[in-house]
Amino acid sequence: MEAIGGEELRVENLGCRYERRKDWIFRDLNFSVKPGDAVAVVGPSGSGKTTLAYCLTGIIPNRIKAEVEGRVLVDGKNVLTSRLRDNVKLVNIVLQNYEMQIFGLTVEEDLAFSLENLGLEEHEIEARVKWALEKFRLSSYRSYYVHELSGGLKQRLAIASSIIMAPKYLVMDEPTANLDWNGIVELSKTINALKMDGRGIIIMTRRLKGLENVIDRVISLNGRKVSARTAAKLPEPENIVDPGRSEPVITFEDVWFRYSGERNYVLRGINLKILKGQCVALMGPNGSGKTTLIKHVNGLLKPVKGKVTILGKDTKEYSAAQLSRYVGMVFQDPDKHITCETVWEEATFGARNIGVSENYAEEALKALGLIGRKDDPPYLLSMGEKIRLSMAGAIGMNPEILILDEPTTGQDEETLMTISSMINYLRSVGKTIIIVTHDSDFALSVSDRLVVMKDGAIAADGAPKEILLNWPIVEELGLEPPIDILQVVEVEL
Amino acid sequence: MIIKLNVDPRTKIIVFSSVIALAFMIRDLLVIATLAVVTLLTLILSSRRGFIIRGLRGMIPLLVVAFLLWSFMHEWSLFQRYGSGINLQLGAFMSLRLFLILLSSLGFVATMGMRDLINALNSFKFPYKAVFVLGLTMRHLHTIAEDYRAIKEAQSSRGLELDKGLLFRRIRNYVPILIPLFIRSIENAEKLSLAMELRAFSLNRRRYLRRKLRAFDIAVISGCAVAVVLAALHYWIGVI
Repeated sequence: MEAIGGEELRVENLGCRYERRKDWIFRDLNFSVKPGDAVAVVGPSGSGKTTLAYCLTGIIPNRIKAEVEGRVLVDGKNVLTSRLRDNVKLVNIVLQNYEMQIFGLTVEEDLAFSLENLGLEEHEIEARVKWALEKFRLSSYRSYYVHELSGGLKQRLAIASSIIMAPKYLVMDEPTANLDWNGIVELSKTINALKMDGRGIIIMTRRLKGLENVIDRVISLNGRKVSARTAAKLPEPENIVDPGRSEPVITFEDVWFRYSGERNYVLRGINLKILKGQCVALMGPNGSGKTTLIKHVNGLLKPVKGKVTILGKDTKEYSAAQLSRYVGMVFQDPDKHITCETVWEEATFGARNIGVSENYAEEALKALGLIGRKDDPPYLLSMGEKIRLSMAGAIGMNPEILILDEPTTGQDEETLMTISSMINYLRSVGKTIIIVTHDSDFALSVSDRLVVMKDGAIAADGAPKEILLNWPIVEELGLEPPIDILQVVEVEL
Repeated sequence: MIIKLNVDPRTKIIVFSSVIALAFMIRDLLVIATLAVVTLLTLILSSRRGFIIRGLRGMIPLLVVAFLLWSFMHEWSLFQRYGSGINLQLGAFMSLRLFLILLSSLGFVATMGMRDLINALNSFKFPYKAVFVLGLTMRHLHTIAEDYRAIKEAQSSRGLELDKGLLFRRIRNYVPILIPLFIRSIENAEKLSLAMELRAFSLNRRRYLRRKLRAFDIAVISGCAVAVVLAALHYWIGVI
């Protein structure tokens, strides 16, 4: 094994392309990270952030076969030519799907898992587990079952379990993707603690918001250009319906809900009227009841007390499948429901189920720039394209109400613009839209009403600007502050 | 009143096995009744009282049927001959035996966490591969259940009627749920094996049950051993 250079993670002329692919994901990449530094690698989806993360840890070419050129030297050792098992003690990674990295049934067991793998003595394991529990503020959760933890806590556990193996560098792939604002603030504290501890941190992310204060440098991956056939072309919106003069299409009357077997209510006395043609952004911290609320709109959940009426229909009397004629839902993770063999079949799945003309799905595919790929298998699409396909499927059922659950998570600017244009277009034809999001900039740009939830109740309801540009309210409700400009130094590669 | 004894999982397994063994060894109505009452009181005083009481309610019809069958229809038993006519004492004994088996199983499920079970199996030197796979399955059962729920909700929201039509049609309705679930599970397995390598996983790893048996546990285990040995000597060998 080579041993060149001092204490740093140095990337030298790194290039990578997958087997049987002509294009390089990236090439001639050069940068370095010193212990105690935090470097962010930003870029749109498909720009190669995850591929770079895999190269930095040696997952490529150890586990995933790809053609790699150049070197990744960690304290002088080239991880590209070392065994993955040896690399993890030098540079480790917290994957985007960090839940997969958790093996213990409880917090304590998970922390001990790696140390037992390394064959450490019991007293050493005890000492390191105690250190990690304190360092990552997990002491009060020591005996908790992993499935009882929130997303943010699970991520903190995944970071702690990687760090407990004492690697000098830690790579994080899209760590903020599923976190609310409080989660991002907690993550920045954790990163700061790791820096103080002398670890080098490399964060792969689409957006830096909330982490600006802990990031020392930003590296931009520009990625490949988007091909013309995937670019969306939407009609310009005209005659947007004035919601002020329209009828309520969604009515919540003193709605209370709790899951069966649970004592605590998740929704507590919700009263809400949404008018035809409104575009409502629904915000609030994780666990505040947003998803539970929207599942009441399409009938997946029924109120324990109170009444939900959709276009005059009491949801208690209809199944979710029956209500899907009126309420379309675009779920956060399109991979969870893609079931058909072609893009066309997938887009028309809902329309066929409820017996609606396939013309709507065809129009939606055209508008979302996917008609040229209608015969392709859905798994060949990029994540942005899959989200658009999911939207086309929901719009193809021609519903009066469309719900978008976290449509901005992990999306690049191109997909965000397409989603914004689609929302404006749908409003112009009189559809009512609800968007669940943590992204305050996106909420400001597309919605005309903002509903904020906290602890199962509506904490604020009004014009987005009045709420989101009011700092005390934003802080009190734990919302992401709308900041567009990041004070960072970009290093062009 | 709730008594928290914090019993070691190994002790729980031994107590459970001993009670089941005694239930089959004991031949006297009074002895089995005493054991059933002691087991019931212990579980009623535990922190899982609610779970136990709900379970007991479900047992009542079963016990009534067992009592009636053994009292009045024991002549048709496939395994034993107890003479003819009505035998209420036999009915009471058999339903108490059934009650004891169900009660101790209920208590085992109620008080034994998955973590406890895996730790106990480890310390009893069960093959590590099997115990690790059991632990991993339990850990990811929630993930699979969560995926299933999310896929079902997504497909219902796209107009898929699951409980419509005859049996064959209903089974076919589940295909759009099972295909993504199957693909996701394979993807998850792939990610899991990568994650295991990132945690330096090895089957030769050192494992520690971070808990020693206390005096209380040793006393309970000894008591169980004595009871089972005495029962065996009395009912099987006839020494005592």
